[in-house]
Amino acid sequence: MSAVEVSHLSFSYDGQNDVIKDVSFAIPKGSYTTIVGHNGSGKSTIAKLLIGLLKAKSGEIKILGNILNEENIYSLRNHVGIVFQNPDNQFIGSTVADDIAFGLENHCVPQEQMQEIIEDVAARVNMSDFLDSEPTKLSGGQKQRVAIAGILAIAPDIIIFDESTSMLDPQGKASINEQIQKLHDERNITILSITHDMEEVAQSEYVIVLKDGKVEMQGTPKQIFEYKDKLKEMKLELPFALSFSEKLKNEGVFKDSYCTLDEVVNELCQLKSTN
Amino acid sequence: MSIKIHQLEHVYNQNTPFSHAALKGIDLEIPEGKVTAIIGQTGSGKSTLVQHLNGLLIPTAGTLDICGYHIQPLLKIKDVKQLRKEVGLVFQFPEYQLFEETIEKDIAFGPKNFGVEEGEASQLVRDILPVVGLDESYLDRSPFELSGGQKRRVAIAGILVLDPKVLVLDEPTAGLDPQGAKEMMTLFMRLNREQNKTVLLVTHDMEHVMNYCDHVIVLDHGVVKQKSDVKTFFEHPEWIVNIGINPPSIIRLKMRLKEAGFDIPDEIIDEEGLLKCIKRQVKIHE
Amino acid sequence: MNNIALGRYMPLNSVVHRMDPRAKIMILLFLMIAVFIPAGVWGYVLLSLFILLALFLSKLQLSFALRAMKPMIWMMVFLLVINVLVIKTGTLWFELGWFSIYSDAIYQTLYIVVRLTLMIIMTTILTASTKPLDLTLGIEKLLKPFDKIGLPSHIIAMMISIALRFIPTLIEETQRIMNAQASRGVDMENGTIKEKVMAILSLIVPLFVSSFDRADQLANAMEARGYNPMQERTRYKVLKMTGIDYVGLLASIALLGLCVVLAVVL
Repeated sequence: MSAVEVSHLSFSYDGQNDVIKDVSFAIPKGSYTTIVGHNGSGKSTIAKLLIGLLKAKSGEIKILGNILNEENIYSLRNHVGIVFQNPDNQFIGSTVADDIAFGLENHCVPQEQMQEIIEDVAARVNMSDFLDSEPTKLSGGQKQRVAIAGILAIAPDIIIFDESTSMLDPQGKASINEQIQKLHDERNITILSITHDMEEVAQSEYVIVLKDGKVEMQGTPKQIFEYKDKLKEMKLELPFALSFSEKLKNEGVFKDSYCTLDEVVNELCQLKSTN
Repeated sequence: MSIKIHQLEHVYNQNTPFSHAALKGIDLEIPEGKVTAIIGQTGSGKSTLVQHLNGLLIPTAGTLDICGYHIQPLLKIKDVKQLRKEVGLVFQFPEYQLFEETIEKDIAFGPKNFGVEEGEASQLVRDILPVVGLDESYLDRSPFELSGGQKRRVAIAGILVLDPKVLVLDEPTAGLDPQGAKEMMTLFMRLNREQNKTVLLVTHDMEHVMNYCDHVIVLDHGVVKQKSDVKTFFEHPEWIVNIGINPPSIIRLKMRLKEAGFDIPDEIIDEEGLLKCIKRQVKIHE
Repeated sequence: MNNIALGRYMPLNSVVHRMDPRAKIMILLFLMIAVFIPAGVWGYVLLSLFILLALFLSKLQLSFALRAMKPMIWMMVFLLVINVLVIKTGTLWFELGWFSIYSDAIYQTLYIVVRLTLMIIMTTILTASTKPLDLTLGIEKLLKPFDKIGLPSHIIAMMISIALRFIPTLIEETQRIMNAQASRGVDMENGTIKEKVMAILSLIVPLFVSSFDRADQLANAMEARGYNPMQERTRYKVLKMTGIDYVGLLASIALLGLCVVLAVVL
């Protein structure tokens, strides 16, 4: 069973121009998938459809095997969490602890259990020292980590990241990407990240490329990156590691190309030792 | 004329329990006609510093010389409006300053504040649109129906239309996709090259510093930690790492390879050089 | 903006800070009523002593509480002038040509000033010793009985707490837009009426646009995190009344009673 299964999904804001056009894809349970596309490709609209904030025009969305509809939307939100783009506009509580508690309160978790859960999830995102801090005292990256903690508190099966790092400075970005990787490695959480950070795409397992509301390509990062010209045409850049290993390939150093810096360094070290 | 900053200090809420020193004894000379990057972590004092450049803030100690203005504590700047025309400041997410019904009116708002006649302002707007990559068909449209990237272009046009000598940009590419960011940076570089505008770029993006800037200033907790030309700066990646900033990808690769025993001279900071250097040290496939 | 004392929370560790917000709100309510009972000079002496004690226990500086009075000073001066001009009863204290001051005018003003001062100090003690969120929670719990007559207490509380949460964010935003427009040559202080209207528009419109944006995103975030105003929710913070709360409540009720007695006797 897939964590998320989307079939023939269409959506329009004004009833005329479809921004999502007959989109179908499936996301395996426990996988780390990224959705990329230029601005206006419809990627954030998909996130809102998946979490039931928007209603599809046609087609269906299955979350953990259940078709999403108006009746089960509240119960399905026990299983799906989403971290949005703007760190400020999703911080609801007046302190970190209150904000993490917000979701627990909504899901009617008994009060006696809350403190333990809050401390546990805050520790998981390295925010234990800030439980009493007010949002104005936190950086963007810290606020996003609190948002992640708030979602972990309800122990979802799927977490969607909707351009969660695009408003952060590089440190914030790195800490959130690290957090995503950690969640994926340690827990069996399905991760769906909507992004235009090609470095992040390279670290994911599966990529869906959107163009003008349609699925243009899907596959592993490596398969996707084969279509360099197509990506360029869609205003998406190759990650540095890949473009550099292409150059090494042209120079006859590499036989293959690699998507991440780690792989490039490893490969070069091997070539050096055999030298 | 360069911008000279001497022993500049800024304390917020001075003489109250909430007093906080954001800048402490800043000494800088920012060369004319160049692109200078100001980098540093959130809270390092970057935004406070740039707000001094057009008189939004007055130093609590020290002096600042810019475009013929001598700015010092407690003294109201004479004709601060003219200073703001000479030094154009583009804030983060400038699209949030749009307010007029049409794009034409919004861009013309600045010139009109500076006393430019209606007709002339309208001509200035028509001249500036192509500079930011928009055409005349946009004139009568509402700025609020544009996409995020286009809104930002309109907002930036609202500053460029004043034809400032110095352009101060506070993270102009934040939130844009890589392609949009590239186009934006290209625009500023053209203004620098073709019109010899002095550009100050507050940024977190080290790739931008490396690819577009001439000089770098590093701020850390309100003091100048480092100032140098870009080449020297990236030859010393430890300067960047020390203040907790991630170096550009090419420098990261170079650092990793050096750790792994590759012999790479300091002065190599470009892809071609690195490629050649690597090629010499590995076995080449047939 | 940092000099505003009224409504600002001061993180101190005091008996008053630890009190249950419900008790504090009720005490404030009783004292407010007491202030309006015409209990004469002795009534105000007693009330002032009680409020000074509360101020002392809350570890707040008297100067901090008085700072909250600042915006009121002109109003009080205005009041004095009006009273002097209008009230012509009591003993004549001063006369110069057509201008005269009668004792009642001064007493009247004094009463109002004392009442206002007491009320502001009381309110400042409450807001300075209670976190906004606790205050909202207290209000919510106190309004709970009115749910039966259709008053959505938890929705009101949620609205207040979100408003409080976003005040600092909006102040920051306002400052940023003002700076951005100043950089486009807007002068908020000088200029003709027309220029001033434009200056204000250039601040208000972007502020509205971004606030609506925020509200929209916030609503999405709340809904995505399972918030449903029509559904039962559990609460993280629980309020618990302790001995000191009951003591405070009893004392304020006693004081109110005493004021009533004084008012009747006099």
